[in-house]
Amino acid sequence: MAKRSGLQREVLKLYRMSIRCIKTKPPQTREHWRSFIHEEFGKYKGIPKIQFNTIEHLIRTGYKRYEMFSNPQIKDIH
Amino acid sequence: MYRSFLRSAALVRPSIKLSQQSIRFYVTQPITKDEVITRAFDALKTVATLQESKISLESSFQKDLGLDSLDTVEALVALEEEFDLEIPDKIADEIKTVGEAVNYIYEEEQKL
Repeated sequence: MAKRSGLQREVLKLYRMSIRCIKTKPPQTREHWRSFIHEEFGKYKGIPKIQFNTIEHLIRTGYKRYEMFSNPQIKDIH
Repeated sequence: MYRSFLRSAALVRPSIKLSQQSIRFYVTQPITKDEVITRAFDALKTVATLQESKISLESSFQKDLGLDSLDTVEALVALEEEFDLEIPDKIADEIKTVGEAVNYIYEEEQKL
């Protein structure tokens, strides 16, 4: 496997943070969270890796949404 | 100042008593490599994308098991949850096969 670029590692970091965050949610909703995160990342799988600006923007908004959803008062998602 | 000393003394004393009563000496068996392997495989089976695949120590997450990089992260987090540790990003990026992950976990468990 080729060495990952900085941007790729950023994406993986965000993904890892999001997946780890599932643990803090109530057990019966964890499957929803997992599929939600999967879908959100899956939406942009097709973006060519040359579009740095788009990806950077998505990472930024991703962090914002992570902060919002990691609030313990938000318990479920669909 | 005197009062705060009293309070802290009052706080300390019962805890000493309690620890004297409830202390027990025993040694837990150190975790064996086989145990790490079986628990790791069980944890990996819970990952949605890995349910049907054949897992062995040599299988590479991306080449043999057909995961993409995001699924690999998911598998590693499942392992983290099972063993209650956190694999730092740098090491997690280097792990490519199940065997490497198991080795890392085994070494971490020895350190405890």
